[in-house]
Amino acid sequence: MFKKLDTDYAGAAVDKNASRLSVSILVAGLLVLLVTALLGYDAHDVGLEPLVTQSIELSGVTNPVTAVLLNFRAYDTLLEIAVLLIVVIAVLPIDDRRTAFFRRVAETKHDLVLSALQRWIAPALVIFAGYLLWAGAYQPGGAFQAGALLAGACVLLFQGGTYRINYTSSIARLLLVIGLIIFVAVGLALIWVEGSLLTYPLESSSILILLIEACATISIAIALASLYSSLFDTAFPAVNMGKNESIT
Amino acid sequence: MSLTMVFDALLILSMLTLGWMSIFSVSLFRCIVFFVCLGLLATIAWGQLGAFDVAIAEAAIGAGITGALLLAAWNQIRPLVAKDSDMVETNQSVAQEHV
Amino acid sequence: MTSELLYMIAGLGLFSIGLSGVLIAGHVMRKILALNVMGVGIFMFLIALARKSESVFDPVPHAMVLTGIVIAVAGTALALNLMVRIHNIDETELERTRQESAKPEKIEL
Repeated sequence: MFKKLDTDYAGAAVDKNASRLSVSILVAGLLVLLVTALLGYDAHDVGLEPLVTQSIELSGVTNPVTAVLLNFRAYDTLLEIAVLLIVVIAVLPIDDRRTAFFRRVAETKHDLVLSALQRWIAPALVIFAGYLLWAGAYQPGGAFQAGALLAGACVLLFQGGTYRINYTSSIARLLLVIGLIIFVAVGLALIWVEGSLLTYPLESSSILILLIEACATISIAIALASLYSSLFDTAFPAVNMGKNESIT
Repeated sequence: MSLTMVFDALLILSMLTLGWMSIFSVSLFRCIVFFVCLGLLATIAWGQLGAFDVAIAEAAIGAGITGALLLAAWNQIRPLVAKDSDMVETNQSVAQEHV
Repeated sequence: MTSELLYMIAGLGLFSIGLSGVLIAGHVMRKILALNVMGVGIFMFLIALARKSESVFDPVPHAMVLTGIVIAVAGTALALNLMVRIHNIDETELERTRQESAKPEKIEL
């Protein structure tokens, strides 16, 4: 597809079969090398599992994965949310910043199956996301899963072009950054209280983790939804140009 | 135990096949559908390996959101793809609708 | 041969398939899909590595994979956006910009 950009570059004399053959030989060689290395390596009795099990009492949650994500290696999660935010800023769908955060534009086509799905599944997804967020402390679940489910609900709502979110409105901006802000604020406050970044005090660690997770869930959900909108909205130029008047 | 191994082997075999097909299929649309299938099978594999946290995230993100993203992007580049005869199934009228 | 080892080898296989896809595949979207397949292979390797027995597992690789899944979808979205933008560049526009390249001008995407 980059042919049209290729005007200056005359192109190397590429024999497709030759390049395929050489690549497959190289990759097969790499695979054999990796498998040999794997077979010669005993991976048992290494890893951080005993360490995590030992100190799970100190983390404030009982699900070890949540404990690692939000307590023992909270830096990773903080930076991950930051990376997600940077990507969102790079691809953010531009809209009029004064229009409302959530809009219902004039319905162009009525799809019975789609609207029934939107009415029944989207609320159930929201409830289930809330449950996953709450359950993440002691069983599989947590901020990422809940955020992804909420984003899935948003993607479902975007189908048909009836509902739109304006990511440039101030509410959306606040929601996009609230996860990072709360995370950084808690971390900095803990420097003040405890003396080092993101070291939770034992008695309040559980509630702090829940606070950070709740804000991160909202941010992740709206960030993933905006990633989808950045690719989806331009497919409907009429909607994108603001020709349809908003109802609410 | 051996039955589980057979299940694992079948799962792995189908995942490898789907991995190949999701890159080298004839049409891009098929590639995307196969990739979503790969994500769903990966969910089963994570469950089989005891990683239920990852399984939930993979089902929601890997299969759901990524599939939606890929389909939305495919929808945008479709007309040229039809011209390049990379897409054999789309007829021209459907492609024209989104130009 | 334990099933963890089987999954690890399968992860390496998926990685290799994805790698060859990145190198060979023609269309950019196929390359993006191939990168994702590579990611699935790496995740599979890490999760199989983390499993110690039926119920005991190392949570640190699981957390890494969770982080990786979210970052992978973010990277995919960025790549797809770039692909769509490049696809939408008008060729005449490009030629005009190239002729006026003495004074660099912002390309209207």
